[in-house]
Amino acid sequence: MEIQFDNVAKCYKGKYALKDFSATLGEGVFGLLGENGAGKTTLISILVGILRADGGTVRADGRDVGAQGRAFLADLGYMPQYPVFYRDFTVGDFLLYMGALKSLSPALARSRAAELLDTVNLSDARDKKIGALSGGMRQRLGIAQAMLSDPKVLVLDEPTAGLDPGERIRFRNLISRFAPGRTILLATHIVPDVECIATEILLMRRGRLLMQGAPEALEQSIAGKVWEATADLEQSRQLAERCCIGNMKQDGPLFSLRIISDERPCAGARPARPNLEDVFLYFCQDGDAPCA
Amino acid sequence: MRLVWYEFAKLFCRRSVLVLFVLFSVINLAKIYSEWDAYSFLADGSGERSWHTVYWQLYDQYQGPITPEKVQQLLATWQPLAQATADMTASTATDDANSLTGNLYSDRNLLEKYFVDPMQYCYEYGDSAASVAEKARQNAERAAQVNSLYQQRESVALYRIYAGRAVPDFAYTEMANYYLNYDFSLILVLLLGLYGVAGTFVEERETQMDRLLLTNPNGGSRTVLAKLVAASGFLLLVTTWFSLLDLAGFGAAFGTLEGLDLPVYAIPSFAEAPVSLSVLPFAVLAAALRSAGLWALGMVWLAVSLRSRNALVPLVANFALTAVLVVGGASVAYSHFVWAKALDPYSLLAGRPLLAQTEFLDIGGFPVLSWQAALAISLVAGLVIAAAIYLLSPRNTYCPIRRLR
Repeated sequence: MEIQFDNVAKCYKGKYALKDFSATLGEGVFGLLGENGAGKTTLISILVGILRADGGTVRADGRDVGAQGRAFLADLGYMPQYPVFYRDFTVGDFLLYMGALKSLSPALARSRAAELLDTVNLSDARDKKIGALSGGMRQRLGIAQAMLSDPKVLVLDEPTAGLDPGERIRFRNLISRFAPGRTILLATHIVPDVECIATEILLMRRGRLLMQGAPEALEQSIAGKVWEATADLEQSRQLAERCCIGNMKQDGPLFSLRIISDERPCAGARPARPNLEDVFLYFCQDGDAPCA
Repeated sequence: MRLVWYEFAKLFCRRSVLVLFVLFSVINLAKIYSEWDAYSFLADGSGERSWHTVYWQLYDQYQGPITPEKVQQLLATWQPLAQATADMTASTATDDANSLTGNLYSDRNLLEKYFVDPMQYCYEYGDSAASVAEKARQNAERAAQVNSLYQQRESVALYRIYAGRAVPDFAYTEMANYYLNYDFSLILVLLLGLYGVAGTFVEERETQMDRLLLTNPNGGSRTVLAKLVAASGFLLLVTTWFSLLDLAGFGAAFGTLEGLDLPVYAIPSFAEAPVSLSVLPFAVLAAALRSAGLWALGMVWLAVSLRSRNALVPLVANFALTAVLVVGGASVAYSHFVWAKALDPYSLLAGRPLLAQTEFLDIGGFPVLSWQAALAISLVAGLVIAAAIYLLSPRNTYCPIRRLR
């Protein structure tokens, strides 16, 4: 399914949370990357119908999603930020309930739930109360419920927030496994989450889309602007005042620095291959920070 | 239907609700037992000369249709005792072999309290009801003469209620009296109902499930409808359960269900009852009114919590609102502010303010019994609030109201 945003805007108390947002998402994993408050959740809320846009249109396969109504919702799987669900429901009952919400027959909901619990490795927790699940297990349950109706569009809002590294990797792999044949929009401000799995990245800042493209293309856009250098403490401090420091690692009395700068930041600085985190830093730092 | 079941499970199958349900049931049974223990003179054990034993021995002789022979027989037993103890000079021995309970004063009191006075009340009730009916008939005639149409209609209605009333049978009424006048479970029903229902919408918001629900085809208005039905079912379950528990508790504590088939006006505090039902159907009616009152109040609780973000605020607000209604309702319960009674759901919850007295409201020139008016007002108000909740609840922007079927 192709999702098309056309000049979508949302305004809160005279301030734009989203402005002139236009993008097209085909099949694959689309990472919606931006700092906190960039408008990611607003965009997602408009896409899933929780918020009404103040302007612009959202189309699915060329048709206005508003006109499609429930038919579009039937093709949609959504996982909210920090889902708590119902503590007193068991995992199995919760999925059956979500099946009822998605108009699945009890038999179909039961078989899909069993299949998905197996996929997300929660089969053993089927009879456990949700209140007894760990954060990672709850996130996996979240993606299982979103996948219950085998949706064509899967929307995940900060799905890895609060997870330990092992769970995050497991979760990323799950998303990749669900990707074939569907559009997945994954909103996050954790760069490594999308770096490995996203087909395309949508980089947002202050309610606007800055860039859209494959991770490699985005990285290429700042080629020649990422440097590595070694400096002592005083030099490091001076560099930090002038440039954006992407990484700073102590190495004996000196520091290894990763610097994002349009020009060679200091004598001895070597050009480095940009990564997505550099792209994020380059475009998404605050206005008064040296990166912008 | 599946959605309703799941919504009901969300409301009722929470550990805290189940714990409260069991706890309140136990507290209620304990309270009923304490009522019996504290107030019934028959709660004095099963000794050979206890009131309990003697009463049930005598009861077999006097129960059933009140006949002149039974009255004569009772008076023949009671009058000598009354005379002997009138000047307070009779023996105060507690092991008097010639007495039923071991003491003459005790015998007299037992007979007076449990046989003579109740039988006299039953015996005379027919006459006093006939007198009320006759006065109502005369009033109707007088009102017709002066063209006071409403007064005439009200008197005719009163006549129809009281004409032909009589209590032909004598039975044990103590249990039914305490059961119908018992209010404690009302507090428990209110607290449990409030706790269960007030968080219906807030908890979805606190767990972020409100966002998730809205993104599902059945998650918006259909879920709200299911919540309304489930909350109604929960409130009905609570009132039904406690009404049954009250009856079972009183039956168990007093050791009998005797008297349930007597007319309700056989119990003195319901002499002016506006319905001519026997005690058991009357209790069913009172339970139905309680359910309707709680349902209307429940819809108010839901409306108050509809847009709240925090569970505590609507809980406190609803508690305060309920307290105001209860205090207000209790203060007018036995007054002649009939409209105030009809408008306050507390009257339906308590039942007695509406069912112990025959009172009419002038609605469009027609006399409507206060309990019927209160019931209609509660049902209409509840339905209006439920419709408002349905229409005002958040919904997915892709599924506006006009799309609902």
